[in-house]
Amino acid sequence: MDLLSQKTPLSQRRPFISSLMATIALLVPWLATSVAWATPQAAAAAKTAPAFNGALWTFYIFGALTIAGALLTITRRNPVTAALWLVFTLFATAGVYLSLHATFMAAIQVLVYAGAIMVLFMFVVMMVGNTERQEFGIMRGLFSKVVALGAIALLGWRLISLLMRQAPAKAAMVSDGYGSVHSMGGVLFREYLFPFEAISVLLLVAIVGAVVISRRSTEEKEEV
Amino acid sequence: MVPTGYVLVLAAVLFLLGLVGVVLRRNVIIVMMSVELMLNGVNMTLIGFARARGEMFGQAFSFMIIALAAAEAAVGLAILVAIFRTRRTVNVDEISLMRH
Repeated sequence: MDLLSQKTPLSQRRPFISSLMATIALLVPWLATSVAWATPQAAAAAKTAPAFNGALWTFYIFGALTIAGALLTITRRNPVTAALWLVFTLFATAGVYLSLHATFMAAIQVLVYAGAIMVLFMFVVMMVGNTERQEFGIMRGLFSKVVALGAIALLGWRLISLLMRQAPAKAAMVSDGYGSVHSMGGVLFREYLFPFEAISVLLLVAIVGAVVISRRSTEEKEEV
Repeated sequence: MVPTGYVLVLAAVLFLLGLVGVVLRRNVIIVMMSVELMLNGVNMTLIGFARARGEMFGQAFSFMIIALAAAEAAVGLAILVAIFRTRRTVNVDEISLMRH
């Protein structure tokens, strides 16, 4: 079976990326405690404005890491390296969620996205191997690329200006249990029970579909 | 507390970086990773608005989007494996079977 025996060249950067991820994993609990200090309740209890805005600094740090990771994801030549940088980006996104007091979503982001979905990606990357010959294809269809990038730039400008205009000037105060498993369960199993069940059926259909699509047909099996 | 405008700008930048990846890259796997980046940008918008309103509904929506992304990745990667098995390529320029 030559699909699996294909060698994927080992990237030199992987130890560097994994050490970065370990640093983030150590950083998250510390910053999470700063977020807890920065809740309005804590500030009201102290009767003073917190000198260190933990949530904002968590947002700055992880926002910068998110953008850097996304840039590296879309520019890396080796798909394995790109996938690892995507994992890094998803971890950083979880940090951003923490700064927004969405603790349960941050945990789900790490477990489901950086865990389950990226393992799926890594499986396929390892199976297909590094077969990319022509990297960005910049010179091929240069005109259409320029038009597409111009359209993306225009869309980005409109998107950012629109979102900035829509943004409420002041964020609402949040209660103590905001973003916890308890409040999330309340919303999911009361207000959104039907969509929740529909999503589970969708996942089942997707699993069956994935098995059917990726299965070998019977005549191929006989050849092997 | 984080101003909502900052969150929305970060989400828009993430979305656009994913879009640039979808347009520029030729490897289907990396194109799919860029789609994941775009989904994350949308998720961040929802969670940012949930924080701004002090409600949980935005987070419930982003929870469902994550489940949807899992389904999308499973089916998409299965299609990718099937294409690679028959065509021996993951280059989006060479996968043009539907055009002929």
